[in-house]
Amino acid sequence: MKFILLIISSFSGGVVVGGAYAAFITLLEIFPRLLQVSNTKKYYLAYEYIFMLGTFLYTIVYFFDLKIKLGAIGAAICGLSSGIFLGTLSSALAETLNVLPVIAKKFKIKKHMKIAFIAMLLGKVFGALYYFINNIGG
Amino acid sequence: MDKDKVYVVLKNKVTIDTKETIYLRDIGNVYCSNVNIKKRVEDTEVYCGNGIETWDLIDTVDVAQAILKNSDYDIKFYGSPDVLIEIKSKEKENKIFEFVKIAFVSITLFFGAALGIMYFHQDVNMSDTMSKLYFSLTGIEKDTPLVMIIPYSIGLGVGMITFFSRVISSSKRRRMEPGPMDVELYLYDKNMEDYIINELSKNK
Repeated sequence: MKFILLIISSFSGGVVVGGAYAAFITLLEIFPRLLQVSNTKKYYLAYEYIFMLGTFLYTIVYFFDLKIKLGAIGAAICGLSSGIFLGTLSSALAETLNVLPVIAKKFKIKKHMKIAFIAMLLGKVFGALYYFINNIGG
Repeated sequence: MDKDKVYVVLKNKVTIDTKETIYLRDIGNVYCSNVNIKKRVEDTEVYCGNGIETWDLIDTVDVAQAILKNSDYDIKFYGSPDVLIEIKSKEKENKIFEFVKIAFVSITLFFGAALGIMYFHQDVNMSDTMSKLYFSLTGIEKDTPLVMIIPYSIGLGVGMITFFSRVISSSKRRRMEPGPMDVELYLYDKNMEDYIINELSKNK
C-alpha cells in the first residue's frame, strides 16, 4: 500500500517537473531560434524527441551511479554542447526580460550594442571559468 | 464638373527638427491625375513645430481640414489613421560622452554577467553536477574536471552568439533575417509608439 502511494506521488511529481521544464524551454523560444539558425524546420519532431531522450538519460545518470566511459574527449564534447545549450538558455532568459533592448534605449547606444553584448559574453565565459577553477561551489 | 480625386497615403511616424514646418509631402504620399493639384496638395502646411522637443499626433481629420481650407477636392485617405510626430533637435554627436556611456554599460554588463552566471551555477549546484557527470562519463573522480569545464565555458559563449547573432549563410536573404534582439528592439519601439499615440489621442 505504502509503495503504491509512493509510486503515485513520485510519478506525479515527475510529470509536473517534466511538464514545467518543457513549458519553460518552449516559453524561452530556444527551439524556434535554433531551427531558424540551422534552417532545418523540417526536422523539429526529431529535435523534440532527442530533447526528451536527453532529459530522460540525464535524469537516470543523475540518480544512479552509471558509468558510460566515453573518455576525456567524450566528456569535452559533452561539456561543449551543454555549454552551448546553457548559453542560448541564459541569453533567451535575458531576452525575455528585455534586458538589452531597455539598456539600448535608456543609454541611446543602439548602434554600439555589439560592444556591450561582447562584454556580457566575455563576462559570462570568464565568470563560469572563475567559478569552476576557484571551486566556489565547494 | 466632377471634383478632382486626390488620394493620400499617410505614414505611421515621422521625425522632424524643432521649429520646422511639416508639409503634407513629409507625412505621406499624394496621388492625383492632375500634376498641379498634386503639387498644391503636397505643399499644404499641416503642422508647425514650436521649438520644444515633444511628441504630437496628426490624424486624418487634421489633414483633411488643412487641405480643404482653401480648395475643394475629393480626398481619399489610405494608410495609417494617425501620424505620430517626433520633434527633436538634431543631436550633437559627443564622442567622449558616447564612449563613456558604452564603457559604463560594457563594464556593468561584464561584471554583472560574470556574477550572474556564478549565482546561477551556485544555485543549481553546477560544480557537483559537473564532477558527477564527469565521473559518469569517464569513471574518474575529480573535483574540477578541466576537460569538461573549459569546453563548457566556451560553449556558453558560443550559445549566446548562436542565439543573438544573425544567421551565417551564403544566401543573402538568410543573412538579412533579423536576430531576436533586432526583433525585440523593434517591438519595444513599436509598443512605445502605440502607447504614446494612445495617450495623445486621449488628450486630444
